[in-house]
Amino acid sequence: MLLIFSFFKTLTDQVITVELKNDLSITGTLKSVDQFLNIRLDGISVEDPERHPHMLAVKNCFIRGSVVRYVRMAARSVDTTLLEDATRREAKEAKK
Amino acid sequence: MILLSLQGKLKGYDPRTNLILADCVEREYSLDQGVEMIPLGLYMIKGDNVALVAELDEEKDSTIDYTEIKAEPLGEIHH
Repeated sequence: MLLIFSFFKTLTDQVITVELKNDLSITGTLKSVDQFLNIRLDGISVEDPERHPHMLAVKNCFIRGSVVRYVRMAARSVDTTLLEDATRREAKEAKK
Repeated sequence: MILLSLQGKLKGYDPRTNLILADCVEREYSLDQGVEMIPLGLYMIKGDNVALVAELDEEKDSTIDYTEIKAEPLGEIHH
């Protein structure tokens, strides 16, 4: 979990899309993330504003980590090799 | 979990996202009529039931005619 937290921290100030467990998808700039994977987004827009006009008058939001289904980000913002190494290291630590 | 769209003044919160909201108004969305604003008063909300907290842009909010907005209510959260 700590690894995912660190990974999300590297995405700070990038544009990501957060899909909630009620199918609402919100795109915005990641401003901060905490240990519960709560997410703060700035300059938000919803994927389908016709269907979900609930967020029209809102510019930034705090999303509770427990309601997040997916976080989508650009492939180039992920250093896969670094993540692989980190997961292996973590697995090794866990075995000890 | 039922999703309520609540508007109110945030009076307090803690690390578990428990909230205190003063002068709450429920915004009830439906497909067959405009948004219904239901005044509820002071609410204390357990963090488990919170999905999202957002700051309302009051300037932008006042330009929206909510009696004209028809939408299905936000879906339930399925954990």
